[in-house]
Amino acid sequence: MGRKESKILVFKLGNQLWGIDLKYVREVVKVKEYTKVPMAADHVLGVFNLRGQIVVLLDISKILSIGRAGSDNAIILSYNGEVIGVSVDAVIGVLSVGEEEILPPPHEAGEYVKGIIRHREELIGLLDTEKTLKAIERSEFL
Amino acid sequence: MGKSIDKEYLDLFIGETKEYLDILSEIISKLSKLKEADKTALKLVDEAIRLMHSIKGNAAMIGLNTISLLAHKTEDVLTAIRKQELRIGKDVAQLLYEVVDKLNSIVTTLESEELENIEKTDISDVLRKLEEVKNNLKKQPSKTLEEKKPASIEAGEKPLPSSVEEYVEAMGEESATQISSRYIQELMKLSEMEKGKVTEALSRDLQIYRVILKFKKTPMFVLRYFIALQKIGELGEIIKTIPSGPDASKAKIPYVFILAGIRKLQELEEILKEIPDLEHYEVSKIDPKELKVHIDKISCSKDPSADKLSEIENLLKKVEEKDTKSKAPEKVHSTQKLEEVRVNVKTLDALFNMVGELVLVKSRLAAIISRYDIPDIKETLTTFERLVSELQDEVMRMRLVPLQYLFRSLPRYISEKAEKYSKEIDAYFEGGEIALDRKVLEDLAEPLFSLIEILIRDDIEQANERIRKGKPSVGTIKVSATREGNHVILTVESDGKGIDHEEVKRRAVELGLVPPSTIEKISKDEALMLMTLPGFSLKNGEYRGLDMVKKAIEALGGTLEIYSKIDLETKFILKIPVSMATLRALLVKLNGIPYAIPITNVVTTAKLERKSDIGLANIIQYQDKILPVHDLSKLLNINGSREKRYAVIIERRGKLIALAVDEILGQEDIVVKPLSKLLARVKGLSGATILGDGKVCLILDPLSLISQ
Repeated sequence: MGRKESKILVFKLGNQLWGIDLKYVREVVKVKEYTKVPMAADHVLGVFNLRGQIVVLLDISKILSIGRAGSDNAIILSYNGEVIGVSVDAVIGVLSVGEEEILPPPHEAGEYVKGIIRHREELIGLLDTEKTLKAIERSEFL
Repeated sequence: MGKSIDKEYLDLFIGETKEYLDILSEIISKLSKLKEADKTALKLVDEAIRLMHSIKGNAAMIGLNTISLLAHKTEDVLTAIRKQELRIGKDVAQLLYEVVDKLNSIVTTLESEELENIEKTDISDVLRKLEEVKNNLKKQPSKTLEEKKPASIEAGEKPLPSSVEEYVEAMGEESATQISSRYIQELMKLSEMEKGKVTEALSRDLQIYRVILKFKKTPMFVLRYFIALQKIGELGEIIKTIPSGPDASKAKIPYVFILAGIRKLQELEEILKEIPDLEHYEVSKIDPKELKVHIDKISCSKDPSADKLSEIENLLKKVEEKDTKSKAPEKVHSTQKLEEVRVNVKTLDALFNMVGELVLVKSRLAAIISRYDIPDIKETLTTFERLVSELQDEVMRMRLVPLQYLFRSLPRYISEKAEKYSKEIDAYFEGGEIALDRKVLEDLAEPLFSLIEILIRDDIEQANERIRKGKPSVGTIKVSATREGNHVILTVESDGKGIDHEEVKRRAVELGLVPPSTIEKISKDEALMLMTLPGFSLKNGEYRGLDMVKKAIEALGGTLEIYSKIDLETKFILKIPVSMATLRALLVKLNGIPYAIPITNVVTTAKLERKSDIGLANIIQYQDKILPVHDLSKLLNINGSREKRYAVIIERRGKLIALAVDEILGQEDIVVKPLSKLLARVKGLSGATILGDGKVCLILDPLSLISQ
C-alpha cells in the first residue's frame, strides 16, 4: 500500500491558489459564451453548450468570498451524475500530494476548505467539493 | 484490480435487476390477493424464484455479495412457499416487498456509488426477518398442510444445488469432459434449418468455424454468454449454439459451443480477446461436409443457367424452415433472442443528444446553403434533411416504453394506500400497451401516484359510508390511457363522493386565493381548476397537493383537467405529449438575448401602439378586450429597453394577459434539453434548448412568472 496519495487539480481563483480532488474533474475547457439565467442565484453565471449538453456554470468565488475578474477557463466536474462547470481564473496543473501533506485548515479558512497544502512557497486551499456542491444543490445561497 | 468490474456489465446488471424487481413486485401484489395456493399462484411463485435466482447469480458474478446473499435468503423463503410450507399472507408479502425495496435501493445507489460502499449496506434487518419467517415455519408448519405431509417438513428436503458452480464441483472435472464431448457431437448434428443457415453463410463467402469458449468459474455466465454471442454475431452468422439462449442459465458447465460462419479467423480471434473472464477458447475450421451440407448447391448458383434451379431450392428451403419452426420452436427462439440487444439508457440518451445536435447542424447548413444558388447542393441537402428527420423519428421511437412499466407498480401502491386510509379498493388499468418516451414516463410517475393517493384519501368513502349510500362497498380506481395523435390521454378516476363546485369556490375565497369580487364569474368547470392553485385545500386538507401535480404535468408539456359529479365520479384527465423531445416555441428577444416561449401558452402576438407604451398605463386593447400588460423583462428581473414594441398574448386560467417583449423572432421547433438540478428552484424556467448558432436559449414558463 505505502502512503496514500491524492491527485489535486490546482487552479487560480482571484489571486489565490485552490485545489480540487481530481476524482471529480472530468475535463478543463474554455467557455467562450454562456447564457445568463435570470432569477438565478449569484453564484450561477449561466448555462452553456458543452457538445450538445447544457451545463450550468458556477462562480464559486461568490461562495468562498473571493474577489476575481473572471475568465473563460472552466473546470468540468462530474458530481452525483450531474455535469457542472466551475469558472476559474487559470488552471495551474495536477499535484500529487501525500495525505500527511494536507494540513487541517485554520478556523478562519471557512467551512468549504477541507485542508491546506503547502507547496513550495505557496499555500493551496483544498476545496471541500462535496460540501460546496451540496450546499449549492440545497440552494443555501439563493 | 480483480475487484473492479467493467462499467458495461454493471450497467447491464443494474438494468436487468431493476426490470426483474419491477416484475417481482407485480408478482407479490398478485400473490397477496390470491386466496388459495392454486396453479396460478404456484406459477407466479416459480417465476419469482426464477427471477430471484437470476438476481442472485448475476450479483455473485460481479462480486456483489450483499445483493447475492439477500437474494439467496429470499429465494429460500420463496422455495418454502413453493413447497407450500408457507402461506403468502400479508406479513410475508410485506416482507417480500421490503426485500424488493431494499434491493431496489441498493441497485439504485450502485449507479453512483463505489462498489465497496455498496458492500457495506446494512441488510441485517431484512435478513433477520427472512430468517425468522423460515424458522417459524420449521416450528409450526402451516395449518393448511398440517395433515398432508408434516414429515417432510420436519426432515427438510435436501436443497437443490443453487448455482452452476455447485453443479460443476459436484460433478468433478472428468464428467465435465464427458459432457463437453457429448455437446460437441450434439453441436455437429444440424437440423434442416441450421443446414440452411450453413448454406447461406457459405454463399456469403463465410467459413464455418466451431468455437468452444470456456469461461472462468462464475456462478452464472449468462451475461457473458450473450455478450460473446453478440460479438461473434456481429462478425458473421451464428448457426448453432449449445446451450441455446433460454437454456444458458441452466448450463451445467461453463462452456459455450458455437458453430458460426465467419469471414476471417483473425477477426474472430480479436473479438474473442475482448470477451472478459474467458479462461480458454478453441477455434477449429469445419468442413461443411462434416455437417452433411453439400457445397455443390452453392457452386451451381454461380452458373447463370442454374438460377431458376437455385431459386426453387431456396423456396423449398424456406418451406422446410417453416416446417422445422413448427416442430422445434425452442431452437427458433434461441436465435430470435439475439435480435434484441440491451442498450443502456445512457447510451440512448447520448444518441438522442447527438441526433438533436445533428438537427441543429442541419438547420445551420440549410441557412448557409440558402445564400447560394447551387442546385446540386440543394438537392443533397434535401436528401440529408429527410435522412436526419427519419433518424430523429427512429431514435425517438427507440426511446418509447409502454405504460405497462408504470402500471406494474400501481397495484402495490394502491393496496398500500388503501390500507393506510382504511378503504377497500379495486383497481383497473387499461391501455398499458400505449408507449411514451422513457423520460416522460419517468416524470409522469410522481404526479400519477399523487393523483391516485388523493383519490383514495379524499374521494373514496369508507366501506360503511358507501353501503349507506347504496354503493358497492368496494371503491374503484381506474387508470386508463388512450392515444390521441401525438398525445396520450391518461384518465385517473374513482367512484367516490365527488367534489362540490360551490364548496371549492367558497374555500378559494376563504383562503384568499381568489378575490371575492371575481368568484361569481368563475364557471363550474373553472371552479374545479381553482383546486390547483398553490396552497389550496378543502376542509381537513382534502385535495391538497394538486398544485404540485399540475406543475409536474405542465413541466412535461401536458395539461390537467378535473371533472367531478357528486357521489358519482371524480376524474383527472391528463394530456401528455408522447415525446417531449421537440417543442414548438415562439422565440422572443429581451435585451438582445433570445428566449423561447412554448407555443401552447401563446394565443397570439400583437404590436404595441406607441401611445400605449407600458409606463403607467399598462393595458392594451386586444379585439374588444382590455388586457393587462406585464413587462417580461421586469418579471424576469433583467434589464430591457424601456420601449417594448411587441406583446405576446398568453392565456392563464381563461384570461388573456399580454407580455411585452423587445422583439419577436418567430416560431421554431426546438429540442428541449433538461436544465441542471442546481437550477431546479429558479422560477420561470421550464428547460433550455440549443439554437442554430450553438448558444443556449432558455425556455420560459410565463405562467409561473405572472402568478407571483
